[in-house]
Amino acid sequence: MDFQPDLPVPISYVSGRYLLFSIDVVTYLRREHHICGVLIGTLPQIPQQNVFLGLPLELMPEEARLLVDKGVACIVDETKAHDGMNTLLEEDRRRYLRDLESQGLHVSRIQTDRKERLREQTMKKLEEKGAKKKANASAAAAQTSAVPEDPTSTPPQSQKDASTVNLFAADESQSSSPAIEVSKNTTPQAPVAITPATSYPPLPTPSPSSYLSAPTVPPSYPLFAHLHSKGYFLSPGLRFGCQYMAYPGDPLRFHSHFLVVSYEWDQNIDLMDLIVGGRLGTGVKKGFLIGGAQKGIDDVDSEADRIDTVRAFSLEWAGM
Amino acid sequence: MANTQTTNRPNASALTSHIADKGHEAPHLAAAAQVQHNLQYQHLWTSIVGYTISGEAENTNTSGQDPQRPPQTPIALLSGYPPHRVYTHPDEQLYMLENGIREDDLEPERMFVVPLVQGQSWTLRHMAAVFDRLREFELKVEEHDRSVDTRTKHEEETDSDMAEKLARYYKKKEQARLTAEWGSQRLLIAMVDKGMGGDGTVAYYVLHEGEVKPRQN
Repeated sequence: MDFQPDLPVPISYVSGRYLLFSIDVVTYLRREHHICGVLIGTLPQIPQQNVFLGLPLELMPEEARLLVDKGVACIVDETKAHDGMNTLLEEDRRRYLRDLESQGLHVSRIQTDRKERLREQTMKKLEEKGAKKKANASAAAAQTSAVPEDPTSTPPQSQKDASTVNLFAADESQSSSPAIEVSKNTTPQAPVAITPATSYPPLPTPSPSSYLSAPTVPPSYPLFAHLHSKGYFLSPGLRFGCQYMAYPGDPLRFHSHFLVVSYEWDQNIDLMDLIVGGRLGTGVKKGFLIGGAQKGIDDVDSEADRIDTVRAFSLEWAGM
Repeated sequence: MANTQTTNRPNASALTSHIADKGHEAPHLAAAAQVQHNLQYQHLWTSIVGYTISGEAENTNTSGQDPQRPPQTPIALLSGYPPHRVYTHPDEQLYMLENGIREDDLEPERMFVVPLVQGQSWTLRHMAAVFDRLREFELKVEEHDRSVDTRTKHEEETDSDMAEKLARYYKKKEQARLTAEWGSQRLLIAMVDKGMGGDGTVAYYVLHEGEVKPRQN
């Protein structure tokens, strides 16, 4: 279950965005490195169905930079990496397609196996139920014959029992026998169509020399790295009126604690912004967190130094 | 008719005369006086004392700005006793609930306030400077309280059970102060708008050092 990818994992750089296409990598980064990103894959026909977004996962430049600095990920230029697609040998291409087909067959075999098992189970259950009901019905009939005082109530019941049994029996006889034939006839020839989300089985994994340099990040990066080092999960804050949202654990399990806005060390903070943030935060039961690094992005000696020189302050309405 | 021709200026407002009486003409002191007035008469705070964190004149021979240096402008700092607790950390509240301690059982707690005026320069450096020196002023004000000793020690008929509970609470609180378990250092920032003569409103917000989880209110 716990998939361990080969490090560093490649992050695809596509026209200014940092994207991940492998679901295994996405879950691994979320589980081990508290990086959630944003799923942006949507249905071409219904792009407004935002609840059901899927791969690819877009990372903020801060997230990509953090992973690169940790040595967990590398940035790969997607266009360059796919130059090799044109020169792929015909033989390789065919082998790849064959491979996909065999995978599809494997999947369809698993599916039919499971279907058959389920069907057998339900049939067994129904048989047991039917037997029980029949026994009950006969017992009830015996009882009514023994106690003939109330003749109006008993006939409908036994009738109902009989009808339900018949109904299920009819169901079985109708659905099961043709289904077996159908499944036996069709499944072996129809492999499930598999569309891989990643392209590095046919292509070689990119060499370290082709990695792009670490992403350039906004001035808020030190605060981002600082909060991340404290175990917070950070997500973009545009939807909530701030720079980042800070969650004390996985966003699927926790409400966020802070609305985060970063300032530079000597940047003037408008008091109105503090009130606006404090109001907004208190209104949604969160704190408003401001902070920034004492040193500039390129002035630090190390990543640890960057994180250590950050000061943060949280703000809440005092209620007076 | 002629002798009443001299127009009398209306009396200065209570606040203006309050500021003028104390001779708080410097901007940070004037703001402090206004906030002190508001705390005292609107929020019924008691034993309010004021301090100043002096600014540091720009030193030209230091190359580059040392991030640890305090800002150039002075910062006023007020401290007083609110009639009710202004802030209780959620974990502290949980402890109090579990141990059956009500807020009224506790001794009043000093709170620090930084008066700010809309439009003044206020940066992370200022905030860091205030928090870095807050402990120093806490000790100072404790000393002040000991010397004045205005507070009536309420040693009423508190039963021994409650006294024991409270003793345990205060021990835990001191411990929590060191570990920052019940929140780190905190103060109030009081914000005043003085544009066009001002409107008399003061907005108070609790400012914590570091990441302190929000109250679920």
